[in-house]
Amino acid sequence: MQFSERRNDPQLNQSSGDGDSGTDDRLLQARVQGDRLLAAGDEAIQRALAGSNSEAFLRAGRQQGGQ
Amino acid sequence: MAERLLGVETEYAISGLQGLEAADHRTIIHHLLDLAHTTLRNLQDESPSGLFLENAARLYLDSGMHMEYSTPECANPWDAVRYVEAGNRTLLNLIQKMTDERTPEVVTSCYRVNVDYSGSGATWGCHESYQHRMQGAELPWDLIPHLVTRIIYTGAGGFDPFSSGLRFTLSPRAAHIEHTISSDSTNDRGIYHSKVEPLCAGHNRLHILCGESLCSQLAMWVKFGATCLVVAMAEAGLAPGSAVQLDSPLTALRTVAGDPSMKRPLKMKDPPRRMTAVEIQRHYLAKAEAHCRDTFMPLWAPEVCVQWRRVLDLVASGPKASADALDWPMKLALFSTQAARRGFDWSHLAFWNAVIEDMRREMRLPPDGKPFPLELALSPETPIPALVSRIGKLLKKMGLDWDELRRILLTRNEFFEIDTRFGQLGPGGIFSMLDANGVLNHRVGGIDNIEHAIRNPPVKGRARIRGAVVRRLAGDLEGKWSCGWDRIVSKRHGRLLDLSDPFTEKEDWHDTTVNESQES
Repeated sequence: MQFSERRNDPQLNQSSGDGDSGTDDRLLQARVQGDRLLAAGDEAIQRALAGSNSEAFLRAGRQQGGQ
Repeated sequence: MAERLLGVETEYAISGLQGLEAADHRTIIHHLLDLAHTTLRNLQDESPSGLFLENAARLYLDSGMHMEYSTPECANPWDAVRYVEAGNRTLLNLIQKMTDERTPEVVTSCYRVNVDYSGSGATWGCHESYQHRMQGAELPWDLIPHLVTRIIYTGAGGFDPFSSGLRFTLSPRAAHIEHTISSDSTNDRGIYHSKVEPLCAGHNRLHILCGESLCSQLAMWVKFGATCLVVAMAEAGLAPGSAVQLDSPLTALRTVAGDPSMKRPLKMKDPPRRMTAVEIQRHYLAKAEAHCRDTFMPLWAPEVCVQWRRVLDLVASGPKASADALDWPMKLALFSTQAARRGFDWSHLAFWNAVIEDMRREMRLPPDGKPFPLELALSPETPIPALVSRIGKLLKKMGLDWDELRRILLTRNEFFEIDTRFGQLGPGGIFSMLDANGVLNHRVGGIDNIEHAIRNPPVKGRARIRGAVVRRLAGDLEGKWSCGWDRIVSKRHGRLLDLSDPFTEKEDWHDTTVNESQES
């Protein structure tokens, strides 16, 4: 999805009252999307770190001065 | 409508690993440069270790032995992002070729990362250039409040490299900014970089070095678009920053960078009052919206205003609302998840960072980012017994214990690695994996055809000419051509192509032998 096509963002489309079923749906959708992102993020992190030694990794990329 | 050119320089971190050992960095760089020279159509740069490519971009070895890619001059934010992406793919292609053909035993990776967490105190820059015609001293004051507060959507996210704890920041680069205005770029950097180097005739160039390498197209696009509009308004004499002058820009930068809630008010002057970063950005936006169809604005100004407003609405709703769209909120979400996996509560970090800071000061250790020696501090031989005892009592009251801090410090390097690998080029990068998974919402319509941009220049201005000439002359080794931003020269043939007019549409060749013979 393109950002310019972002729809149903609960944070951008605040509802005025409680019990608005549209708002409930949007909140639910946002939560599902958020959970998907976190699950995918967790999986990506574990894949990226698999077999890595962080100290050696950081040492290998040591920068010697940049702008 | 007025045209305005912009460009982006990206410094890439490159690492090679053979098992747990670091591969020789110089060898890797030597291979990459050699492959660039031999496999990409290019003309030699005027410096010995760089070249201009057929898409009119520049690829070179920069101080600190890192590869740097400068986009060609672009006429709109879509092209600016497109050519940044083309640079990413160019680097990635070179690394894959090197691995396949020359160094199969080395795992070489390339990263869009902004600070070095290995303790070197160094940084990788991502600089922006915006063309303007101002001569006066007003530009810094119109720009600085914008540059300080735009990090709420342009921040790369990461950690303060000078903290001995694990201090999240919207903008790791901010820790390397030490002045409000400075002409230096490797030390004593300023929010506003006052270097004068137009690289063309009849225009000046605003060179911004407090920005960061980003992965989100949206963050990049709004960064370039919004900053272009601020420059245009300043040039038109609207003084867009005059009503939002910060009392202390450097203090404000630190405050904004350290505040994911984005609610902390900043001290303003003339008149003294408080405003949040979001409010300051809305001030600039309102001015841009009021003038977006004026003749001094670029044609695409209205579209920038629409997206700028959407992004500000989004960030004003808190980091969770933009965790799928902007770099720093994305990282914040991932780091929080990883903290839970590693057995500590992310919301306790601010407290633990304050504890470490107190103990570091008491032990008179420098703020150099080296890990805090917690076991020494908690041992029977502790040099700070009174403070440790006081904190111990506080922890008991709060239901916390030292073990949580131990877990944080033990996994500190892992978090630094995650930040670095977030921007790793290619399918192994964390951002790339999320993007491939379809869980992100960062793309901007119209940024496409990246493969085409790798081999072709933008359609406007001198970049189009430069790219075409590079392509045409790349095989003429006899000519000993050298290329710069504003000219292409062959001493052998006595020919010079004048590119000093950034909007030139024709090849303006000169015979240099005439001048030389006249001078002699």
